[in-house]
Amino acid sequence: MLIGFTAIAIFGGLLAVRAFNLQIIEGKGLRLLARKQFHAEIYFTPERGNIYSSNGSILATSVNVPGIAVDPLMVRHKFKNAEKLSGLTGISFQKIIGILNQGIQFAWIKRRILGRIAKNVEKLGISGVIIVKQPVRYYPNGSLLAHVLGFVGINDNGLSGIEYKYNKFLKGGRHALKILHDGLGQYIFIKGFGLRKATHGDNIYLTINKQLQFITQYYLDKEAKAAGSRGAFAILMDPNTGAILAMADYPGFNPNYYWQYSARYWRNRAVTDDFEPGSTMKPFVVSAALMEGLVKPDTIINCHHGLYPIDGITVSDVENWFGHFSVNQIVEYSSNVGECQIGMRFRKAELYKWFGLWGFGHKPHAGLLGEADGIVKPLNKWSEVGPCEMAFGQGISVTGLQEIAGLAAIANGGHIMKPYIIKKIVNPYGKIIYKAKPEVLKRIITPRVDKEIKHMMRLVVKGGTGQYSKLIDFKVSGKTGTGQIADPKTGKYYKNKYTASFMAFVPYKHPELAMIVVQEKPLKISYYGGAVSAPVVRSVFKNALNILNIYPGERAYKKQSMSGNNVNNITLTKQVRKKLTVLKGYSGMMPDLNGDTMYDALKIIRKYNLHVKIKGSGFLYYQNIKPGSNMSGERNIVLKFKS
Amino acid sequence: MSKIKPYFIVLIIMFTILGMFYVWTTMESIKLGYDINKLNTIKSGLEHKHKELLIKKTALSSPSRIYKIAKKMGFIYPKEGKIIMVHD
Repeated sequence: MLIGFTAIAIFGGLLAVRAFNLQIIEGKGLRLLARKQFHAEIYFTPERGNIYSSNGSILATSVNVPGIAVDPLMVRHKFKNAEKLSGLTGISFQKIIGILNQGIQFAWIKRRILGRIAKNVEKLGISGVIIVKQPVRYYPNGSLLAHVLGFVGINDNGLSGIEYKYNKFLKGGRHALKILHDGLGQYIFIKGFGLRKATHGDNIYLTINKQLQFITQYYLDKEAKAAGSRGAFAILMDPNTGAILAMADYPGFNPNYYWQYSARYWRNRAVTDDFEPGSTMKPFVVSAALMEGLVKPDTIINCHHGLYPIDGITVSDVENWFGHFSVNQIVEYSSNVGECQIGMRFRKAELYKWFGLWGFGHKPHAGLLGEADGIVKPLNKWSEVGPCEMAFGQGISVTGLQEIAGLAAIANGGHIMKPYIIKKIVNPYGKIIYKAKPEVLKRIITPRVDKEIKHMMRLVVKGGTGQYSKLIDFKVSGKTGTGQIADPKTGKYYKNKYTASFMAFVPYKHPELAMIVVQEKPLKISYYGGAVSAPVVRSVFKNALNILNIYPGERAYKKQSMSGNNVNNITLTKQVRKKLTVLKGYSGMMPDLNGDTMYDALKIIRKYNLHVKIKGSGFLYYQNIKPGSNMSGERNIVLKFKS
Repeated sequence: MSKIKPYFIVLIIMFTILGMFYVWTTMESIKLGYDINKLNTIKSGLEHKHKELLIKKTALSSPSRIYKIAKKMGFIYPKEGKIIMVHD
């Protein structure tokens, strides 16, 4: 027994000595060795953040796309394998064998391949050839908003647009993850290991409305192509907040294949290009003149039948019948002669101050890449006739973004709002780290002056130079502009190169949308802003108001429904005419709508205070309120249609 | 000696039980670690699939694609004055 215990004690003692040796003396080295064998750090390439439209639709995202990489030193039977790879991938044998013969340990055969091809390459099981998945930026809407979004290079860094400007938010942090693995290399998740998530990029939400962006881009493309313009851009803004709802450029490009286009296509003209605005400057100068008390809307100015020599230059108008015009008419018919004289009523410093107040000569800081300042010459460089020329938009350069910010102020009652395109930035865990709020920078004109200038711009569309922007259901206010382009070599204006612009807001009394369209060097159709740019505004407004569920007021409806057969371009069918006639004296009774189309039925019943529920399509076969029923008060009606 | 013996035996049994318990919990922990790993793989696979579907949905609902299809089917934007507002 004693021997047994002695043996156990000796054995225990030896174990203790060994344990002491392993734990204390050699412990540090052995722990390091074990860590090397079982612990590892794997590096995650963070997933780049997405870019979304205002309603959460993806505009830019990242997808993992397979590529074929190779360690040329590990590949045996190079000719045979190069032939196999060439057959599967379509890459030339010469190129592949060239890569395989390199004396390096890593090379790409092709960085982006189809998943199907990747699987087939994997099946070949060539030693040294591996499939590597790499994040690739993908723009599911193709060219939509391309100039604003920009694009990303092969190393996942933004190269242009939002992708570049907000790269530090979108990219996220390269993150090492501590893991423990077993002898087979499988990861073991134990407390303290591998529980941290990789730091993915933040998601950016823009103020852009995808549908409005599409129609803006669509109509800009269509008109710019038809007009033969070299370039064009359009900006659509909510004038009450300064939020940019759409921003389109022509010509467009597809950011998924940006390298296939020259750099000329990538530029976001709406913010980077400044141009002499021409007559779209007039409302800003006239507002300033009204504010300073230099003119009133009914002040009469001699427009000299369109030719006005002043201090060595001759200011001319498009028409020679412009005689004595009120300020209202000067804006309505866009008289340069009249505007020149308004400009000359300013002291130079006064006008210079007003340009600054409108935001010309300063970056708008809307959160876009490459915003230009525009050019307002320093006061000491103004010629004697500087105020005259600048009053009708010559000798001063502005950007589209600056002009629409000024226009928004006129539309919203006189407040300069800070334009913005970033709605919010959300981190990968859903926490909002930035949220934009509409910001009033300053009140620039009084409500009285605002009302006066709005009225003048309304006249432009009603009977002046902007009639191509007229809508039937809504009142549009705007201003046309046709600016001459200067030859950078001589400084003189080209005789046949113009910038055709149009800016407008709608509805006239309570504007919800403001828009500017500028086309560079339109060569076909016309070079006037009122002829080539106003139709874009009209088409966009017409559809945008529908998309935003902005409908004409009740008065407009009444006018539309009660004003005869073909007023407002609405042609009533014979049947509707008959029913309206029958109803004339009995407007308090429910008509028989049986057999009517949906359009005709709704046209008849909209005069009643009804909540309508529609089922089916085609012709009406059921109405829950019987014909002849009393229709006073608010009621619900169900209409059923079938083909 | 005979007095110490039962305590010693009890001690050894206790240590053995404790040791076995420790080994069992460690084994369970590792097993759960593997399970978590498997579930994480499934989860990331599903997340990947979800993202793929989301992207597909976005590409399919791209306004330019819808416009082309609608045009083919003969749809047009309503003309001005042809929209009637009703209260629902």
